Amino acid sequence: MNLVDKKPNLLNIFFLESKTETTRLLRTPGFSIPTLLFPIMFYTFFGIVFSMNPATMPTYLMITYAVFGVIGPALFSFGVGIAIERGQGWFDLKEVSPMPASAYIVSRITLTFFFSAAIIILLFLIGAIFGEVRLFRWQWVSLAAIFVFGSLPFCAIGMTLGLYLKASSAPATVNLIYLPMGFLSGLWLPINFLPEVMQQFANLLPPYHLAQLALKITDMDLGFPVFLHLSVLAAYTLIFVFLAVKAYHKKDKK
Amino acid sequence: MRGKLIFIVPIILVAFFIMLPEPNDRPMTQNGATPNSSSTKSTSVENSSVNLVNGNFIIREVRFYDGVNKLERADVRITDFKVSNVAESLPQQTKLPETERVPEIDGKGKTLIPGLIDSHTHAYMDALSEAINFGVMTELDMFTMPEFANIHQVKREQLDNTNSADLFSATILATAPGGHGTQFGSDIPVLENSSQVDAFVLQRIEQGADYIKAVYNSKKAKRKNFPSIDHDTLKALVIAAHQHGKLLVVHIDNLVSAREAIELGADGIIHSFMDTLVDDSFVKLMLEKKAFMIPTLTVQASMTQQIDNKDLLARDHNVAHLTKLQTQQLKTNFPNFGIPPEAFANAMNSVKLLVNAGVTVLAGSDAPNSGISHGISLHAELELLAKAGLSNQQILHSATGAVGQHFSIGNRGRLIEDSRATMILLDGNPFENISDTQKISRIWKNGKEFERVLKPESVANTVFSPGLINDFNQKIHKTLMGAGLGESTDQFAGGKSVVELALIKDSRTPSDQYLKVIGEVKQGFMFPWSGFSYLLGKDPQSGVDLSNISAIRFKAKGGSKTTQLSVLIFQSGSMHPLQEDLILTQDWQDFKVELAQFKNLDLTDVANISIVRTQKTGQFEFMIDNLIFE
Amino acid sequence: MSQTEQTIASIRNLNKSFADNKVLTDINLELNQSEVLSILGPNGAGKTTLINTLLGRLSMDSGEVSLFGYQPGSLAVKRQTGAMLQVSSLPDMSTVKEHIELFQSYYADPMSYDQVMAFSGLKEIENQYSKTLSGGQKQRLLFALAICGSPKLLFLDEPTVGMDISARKSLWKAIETLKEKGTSILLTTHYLEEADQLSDRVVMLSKGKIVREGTPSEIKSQINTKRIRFRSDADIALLAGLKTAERTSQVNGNNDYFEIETSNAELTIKEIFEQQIPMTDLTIVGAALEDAFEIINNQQSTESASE
Repeated sequence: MNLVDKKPNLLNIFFLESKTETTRLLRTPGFSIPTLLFPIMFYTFFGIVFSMNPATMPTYLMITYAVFGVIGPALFSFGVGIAIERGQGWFDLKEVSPMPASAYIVSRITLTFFFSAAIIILLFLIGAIFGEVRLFRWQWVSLAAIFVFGSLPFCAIGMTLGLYLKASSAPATVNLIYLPMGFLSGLWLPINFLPEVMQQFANLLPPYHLAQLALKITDMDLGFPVFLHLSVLAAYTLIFVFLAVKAYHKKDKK
Repeated sequence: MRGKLIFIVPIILVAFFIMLPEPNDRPMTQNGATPNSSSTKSTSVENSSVNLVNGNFIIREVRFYDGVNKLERADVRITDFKVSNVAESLPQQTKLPETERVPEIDGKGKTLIPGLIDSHTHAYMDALSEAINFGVMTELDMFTMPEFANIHQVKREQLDNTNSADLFSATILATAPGGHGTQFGSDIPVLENSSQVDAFVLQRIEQGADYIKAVYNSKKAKRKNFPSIDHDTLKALVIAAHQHGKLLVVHIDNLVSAREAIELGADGIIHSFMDTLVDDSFVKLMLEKKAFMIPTLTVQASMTQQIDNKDLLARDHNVAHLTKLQTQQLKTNFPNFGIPPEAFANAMNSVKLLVNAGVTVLAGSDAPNSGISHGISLHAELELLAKAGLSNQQILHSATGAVGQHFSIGNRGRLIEDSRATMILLDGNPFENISDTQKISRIWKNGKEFERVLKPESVANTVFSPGLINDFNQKIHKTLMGAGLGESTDQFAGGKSVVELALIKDSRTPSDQYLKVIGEVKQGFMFPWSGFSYLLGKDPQSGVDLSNISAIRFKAKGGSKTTQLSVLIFQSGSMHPLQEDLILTQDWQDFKVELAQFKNLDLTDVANISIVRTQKTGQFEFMIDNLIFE
Repeated sequence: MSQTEQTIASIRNLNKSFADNKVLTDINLELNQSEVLSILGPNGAGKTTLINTLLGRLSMDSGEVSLFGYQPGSLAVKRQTGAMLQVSSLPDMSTVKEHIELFQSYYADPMSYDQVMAFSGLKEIENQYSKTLSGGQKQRLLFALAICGSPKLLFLDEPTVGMDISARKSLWKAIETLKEKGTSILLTTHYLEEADQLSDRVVMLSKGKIVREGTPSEIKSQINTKRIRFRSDADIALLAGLKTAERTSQVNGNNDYFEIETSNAELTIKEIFEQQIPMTDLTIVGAALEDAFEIINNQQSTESASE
């Protein structure tokens, strides 16, 4: 029996999957709006209205809140999204369908990128208009690129979480990870406001490293080498991809 | 739909990024990675029509001073707006392809020195553009309003801030109530005792102070011109400033106070003193504490009537670049305070003794003041330092490399590898003739060439319209136009007269109050006065345009004895007013002082109108109401 | 089995356990083209485990499974397969149409959208969000997703749960149509009528073992149980006491209308005559699958009890 003579259009699948995920999210304002507004509200508060140093804070916090903002969609779309679909049994249905696993991942990454882009655009606008942030064009673009691609390690982390967590506890657990991790990485208030010990601890956290990389563009980072930050982010990505693949291929899933 | 999306989305994104605002100046980067060099090439192409050279060029065979060391002959390479190579000889560019060559400047017979630093000024209005026009690229301000300072402090970090000198500031000085600094009329916070110091210093730093300046006069000093903070307060200031990582500099005018200040740990004293020569123990103390002095010989020379700006003003290369106001300013003198000329010699010789012992002396002009103007007067200070006996190299060091050894100003004042190319090319050799610092051939700020402004005109003064100034029905000091009204006596100049202003209610017309001025003209100052001043401009040195005013009108009456009253009109920067005398009776009279009668009055630039009792000593009182411009 | 039929799926000696628990023992099965095979069994019999193993979601302890000649779970197999699993809910915010179109994109040669609508009867609600669907509508959507790719092999796990009669009948009709078009269908159900109506063959699964296999009529015939119905004014106790009567009951609560289940109808009739029990309206019917199943189950437990 010749099964392989005709294959479905992979690009079409990628596009449809991504479109489906995205439209689903757009139709769920209860989820999408808070995810968008959270970093923007915080930024407006701490970075603009109550900014401690109008010369530098708006720029600094615009960057760290963008990092905070792009991590959210990654963790939630992968972490909570996958866990919930597993709980529904829907995940199983997709697994036994001829949907390529890559399409599943690509669609969620596309969703994350789309969301990240929205958050970045909004933060940039608020920063530029109300925070008087002025950056060279290459800086604006570089920052946007760092934010968007920097969400990938968090997609990996989210994927692992989504494959291991129970659907009922997933939202709470992901929040419990996301919010403190963001705060302890110095995303809400500049890292130098935290006590020395906590600053050391932040080295373990990937958002800290992503933020430091982004801050290098405006020379506001702590001065550690680029190589260090990239290595930590790469390590996290590799480890969590490995864990996710392991979880996915484990047969006899419950 | 999908096809369209693929086109629309990228177009929107590109449009968005193009729309995002860029700074007017280039972004700050610590190690100076400048944006793509193609932009610098385009600016040098732009400017080639005026032959300005920016960013990348070589100066050949020039005498080179880097702020500390001198090279008699050097080739200096500027790359990407910074000093990149200095050597006795750099390779020729003939081997390089056309596109890689940079412009070359012939430095034969010329001297390249770092941009000069004026370590003591008061910066407001056009100070920083006046300074850069004379090669003074950095000013250390010692008292100005934080609102002004903050604007320029932010700008100083911007590499594209190439039309103005960089500013560092103490913002508001620390002084006692009624002390030196409070006489200029603006309401500044003062220190009554040492417990207020911490909050005061914190407030200064929050307002952007780069260092803290205090005014101090020891209780043990013989001269007691102004109230001063006490010893404990000064001590607290030193501690508080150092806690926040800031220098504390102290304004003194006698040895006793200077000694106390340095003993307490102050980082430097500004102004040298004229009462006596420094003694060995003081010199040792300065050395031990690694303290510095900013002598500001110019202001002392002006106070002792010894400033001679005639030479300065005789040189075309100076006059061509001075504003009208500056020229006027340079021609005025301080009123004669009666200080003997020998006192000035004390100041000069003290400086010599300190420098010879190895104490750091920094060049500062105390601009603006009578006879002292931004930019140009730093050169006058350098000439005075030469008269004091310093070597030319010591003098140049005091205005360049020495400053950064105490104040945190980055590489300003130095031309070492990787520092911004902020420098001036001089025709001549200041190592032989210090006045050659005034022969400025070319100026670069942050690697971009600055074109000296010829016959610069400063901002036009605000034009006043006729109207009520104060009817004295509510407040004494607040006027409807101008900065305000204030007590004014010759104590400002060292005299002893006193005055008090009060609002009096007329029992017959209770809502109509009037001003009562009561005081005593005492002996002390050569031209004593007592009364009140009406400040017209934003600050004591700025004037307003009264061309639309024909006269000053007011009602006045005298006290029990018939009183003579003087109306004094001051131009900005001048201490010699135009005067009109009036006679008062015991009844209210309407007085009208026509402005046209003053032949030498430049109506576009009036700073101060004072109504005072002058010349005759004794107690007096007079009443004023409804002060109006007509 | 005719030689012209092709074997689509072949399962040999399949054994599967979870920890110490053996859930499937020595399963041997074949599924051919254009054939409907029902797997019948109570909850816990191992039906879902069997399907999941065939779908490649579970591993085997031992045995060989081959679908279209490929390993279960491989993409080549998936592209020819459609599955309808027990799903508690679907992602809310996609419409019926969107769900179907997405699934169709996974397949190289899907059914036309209109055809899917015809099979599933969802045309009226095609633009509704899956959030708003009733239980039965949801099942129809899941069915649509299973068939929309025009698969050659269809797995249906309890397909008509929650459907009303008309929906169930529509689904049965759809299954029959698909079978005629050449699809092989493996369905699990605990609705015995469903298995009876739809299947070409039935496999009875009990406690992980295949206990009976064959066409519905074969199975029914393997069990000799017949139902003897008649009217009589005899006492029920007397009837129950008949030696060969396996079960005696009143039909519809009527005092005089009885039903006796027996595996040897002839002997039972003889006994009744011998007892001189008067009878009218006598009918003898073959057992329904339902009955067969119960009996077999009882036989199983008796067998295992005596082990």
